[in-house]
Amino acid sequence: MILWLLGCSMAPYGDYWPDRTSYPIVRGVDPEVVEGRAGGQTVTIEGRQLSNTTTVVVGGRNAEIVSVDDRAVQVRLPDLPPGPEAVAVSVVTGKGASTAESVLRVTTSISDFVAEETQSVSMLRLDCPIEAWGVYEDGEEYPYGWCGADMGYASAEAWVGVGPQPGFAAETAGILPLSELPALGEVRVLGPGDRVPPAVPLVFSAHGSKEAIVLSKARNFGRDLADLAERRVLLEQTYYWADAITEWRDPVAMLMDDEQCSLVTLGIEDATETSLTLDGDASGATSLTLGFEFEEDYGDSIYSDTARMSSADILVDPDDPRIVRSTESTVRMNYDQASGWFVPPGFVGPGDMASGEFTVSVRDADGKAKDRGYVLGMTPLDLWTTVPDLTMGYWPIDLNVPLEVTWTSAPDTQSPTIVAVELAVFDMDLKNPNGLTLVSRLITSAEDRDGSLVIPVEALQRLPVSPNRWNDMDEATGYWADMTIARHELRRVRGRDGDIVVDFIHAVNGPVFLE
Amino acid sequence: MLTLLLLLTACDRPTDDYPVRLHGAGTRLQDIQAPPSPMSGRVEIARFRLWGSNIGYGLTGVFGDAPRADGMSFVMGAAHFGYPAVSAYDRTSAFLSPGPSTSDTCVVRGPPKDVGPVEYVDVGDRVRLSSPIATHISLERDPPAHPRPSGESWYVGYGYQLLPDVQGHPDLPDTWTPGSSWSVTFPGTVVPAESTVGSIPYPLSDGSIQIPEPLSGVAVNGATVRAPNHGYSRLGEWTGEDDDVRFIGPFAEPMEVTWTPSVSQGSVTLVVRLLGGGSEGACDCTADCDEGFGCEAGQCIAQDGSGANVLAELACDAQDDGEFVIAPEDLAGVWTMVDWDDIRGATLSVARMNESQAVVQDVLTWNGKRVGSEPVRVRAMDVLVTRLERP
Repeated sequence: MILWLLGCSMAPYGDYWPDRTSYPIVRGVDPEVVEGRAGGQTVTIEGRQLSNTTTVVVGGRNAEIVSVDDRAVQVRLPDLPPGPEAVAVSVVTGKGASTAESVLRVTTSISDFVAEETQSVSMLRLDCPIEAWGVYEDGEEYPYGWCGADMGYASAEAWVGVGPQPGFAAETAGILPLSELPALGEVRVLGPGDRVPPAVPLVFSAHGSKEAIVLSKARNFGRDLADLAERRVLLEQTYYWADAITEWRDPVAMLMDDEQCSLVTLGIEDATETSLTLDGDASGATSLTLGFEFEEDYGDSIYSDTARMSSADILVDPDDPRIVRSTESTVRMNYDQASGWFVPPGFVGPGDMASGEFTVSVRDADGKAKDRGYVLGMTPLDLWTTVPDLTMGYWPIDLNVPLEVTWTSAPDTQSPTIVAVELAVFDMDLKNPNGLTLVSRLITSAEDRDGSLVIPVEALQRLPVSPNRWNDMDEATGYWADMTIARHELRRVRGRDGDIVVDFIHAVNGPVFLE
Repeated sequence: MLTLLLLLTACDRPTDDYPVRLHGAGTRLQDIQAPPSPMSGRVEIARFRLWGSNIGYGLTGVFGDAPRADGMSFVMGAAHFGYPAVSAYDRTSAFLSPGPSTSDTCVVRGPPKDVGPVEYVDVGDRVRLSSPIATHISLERDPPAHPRPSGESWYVGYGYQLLPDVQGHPDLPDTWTPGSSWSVTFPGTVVPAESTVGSIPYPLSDGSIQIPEPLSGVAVNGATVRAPNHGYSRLGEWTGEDDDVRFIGPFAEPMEVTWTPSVSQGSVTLVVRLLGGGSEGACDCTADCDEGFGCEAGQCIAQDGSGANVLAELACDAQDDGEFVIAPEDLAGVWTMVDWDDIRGATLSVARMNESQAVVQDVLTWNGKRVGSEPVRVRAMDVLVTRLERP
């Protein structure tokens, strides 16, 4: 009787289905806890009057009905976007509908950590090779541009909705979002016709134009220049045309004014932790980008190129305009009224995500800053020891042999650190208004501390062979494959009104041959 | 009393037919157009080929015109459900509204309108268009799940994504299969208690739509309509120049449109759209803008008008016999609603459309009421769009 009353009280459908005594009654689900939001698990809904169940909704998404009788409905769970761990289950029969709130718990390896997340920050560094290697029909291998001299990019964004948004930080960058991953160690292959994982259901909240989220740490120009030097070595070792480089200008400071307009590029003569001595006048500059420039001489033509690594807000020394100072390395995300996101107003480079302790602060509607706490920054994947080496522009993968992916683990920080791996195959010949046409993709993941994972042959063989070919117009043709290895490092700052969760993501992406 | 009676008589409005003649047939609207029926939603799919210069995705009404997409072929689907039932679902399209229902007649219309005030209805995660071979198109719900506990679930739509035109691919399901019949289904749903949208709790399992035969051999005034070459000749040789695919519209002389007739002898819809201006992004000089845009007063202005800014359109329904002529006088009504100086460009769309209806269950409103449903309009169209010279 109590259950019957409970069922009725949760079903405000009296006009649609007048006979409340016939409503389905959901008593519970078995199991009550499942792992992973990628879906596919089988769950039994237990209760009464469940015959003729036509529709089952779990966490707001349609579940696939496997079997039905009066006391049980077996369903296959749908993909769920990030959100609260406890989800509702609704059942519709021919005679009524019932919803049992928070009756099923969908856990993930991060769900405890992000349970109180109300502000979500994503800090992404993506590295990729300067060139991709492909094969002509006659078997000749040759490289063409892939990511260019920057060899990647970085981005930062934040979303502050109206309430709890657990798991959002690990989703919004779009690089191997954690909710679409199967349970750790399992492999998921998405082929043609498979469902597209649901997008993040962001809940809009308007903010003031001066509101911002800021991650900052002590400036160390020495470390910035070391990052830059390492990037130059990587470029020289992987760029097919490196021998044609005749002139380096390294390092340089590209100066900008307060409207983010370029002023001048100057060489760097000397550096301390907080100052740079430039080889020219920096007057009028309020920010700079550190990078290097080079020229390639091919006899009949000379090309010049630029790579950028990190940024800095600066003050020009009033007594010597060749000296610029910066005390903080800052990634500031300002509220953008058009999109609702918090985004950086200018360039953010891979160097800006570097290791170290960041102060997390928020600026209110008056622009007043308030420190909320500290988080450790990114521990980048070691590009020299990660295998496959995706910086090379090619890597052969034999689909008949288990694929071992290895990396050097980050120091243990007691917060979730997950390495996710993706192999994706694209059809380069099909015109697609969205860009590349995805044919198939494989995703898997492991704890970072494991240092490796193995993709079994059965999963690899569900991917098509991808020979990465050029046509005689020097364009990519046929099936091309690429691989992404991404380390998610979750951090949080606790607060009375919820946690700020920051996902530092370092991803390496590059073409691979699937043979 | 007599005075009052006379006054009332004077106030009576004349009920005779107005001397308005729409081109082709009839003197009254109902001569060329049956009244629309109230409907509870609309499911549409379209294959577009943009075979004219400076045409972008702006014509979808969802995306911008930059970067330009001329030469591109793509598929798009959209579905929308609402209560109470409205006749706009029957007559209007998110992409290209049909012409009159009488063959070889035209009608002048103002800018495309939305369906009007309805309450949104959720029908489940997706609307699926399938054949026994595969699910061809899945129109995913926006939002993917109703955010909780915000109570902000006030909107539900389906699809509105650009899809590649896939036919006969070895690994991917076709997104367009001319001449075949697809089923139209959705799973049904109930929404969270705090949501403000309605829902259809039960599945739709027996909807269907016939995909139209492809349009081919389309020519304007004897010149073939084709995709622009964009710097390459049709033999694949680099010429370094864009070629300009555009035709003289029916603004001063009649425009003859020809095509390969269908064996089914149905009808073809022809729509001449007059486009107003539109800008996409700020600029200092034209080099800052995408191709097809020029920098004017700090804004990148679409040189041939914005596909999303339709000032007025002439829509004709032609017998599918391979030929139709649009005369300048057909456009006479346009000039009463459009200022000549506002026109920045024009396009011609030629389409084969098929329509059907799907019967859906009643709507469960946000507060638990039952609202009776009318059928849902289902429509599939193969659309070829080309560029006309600015009038």
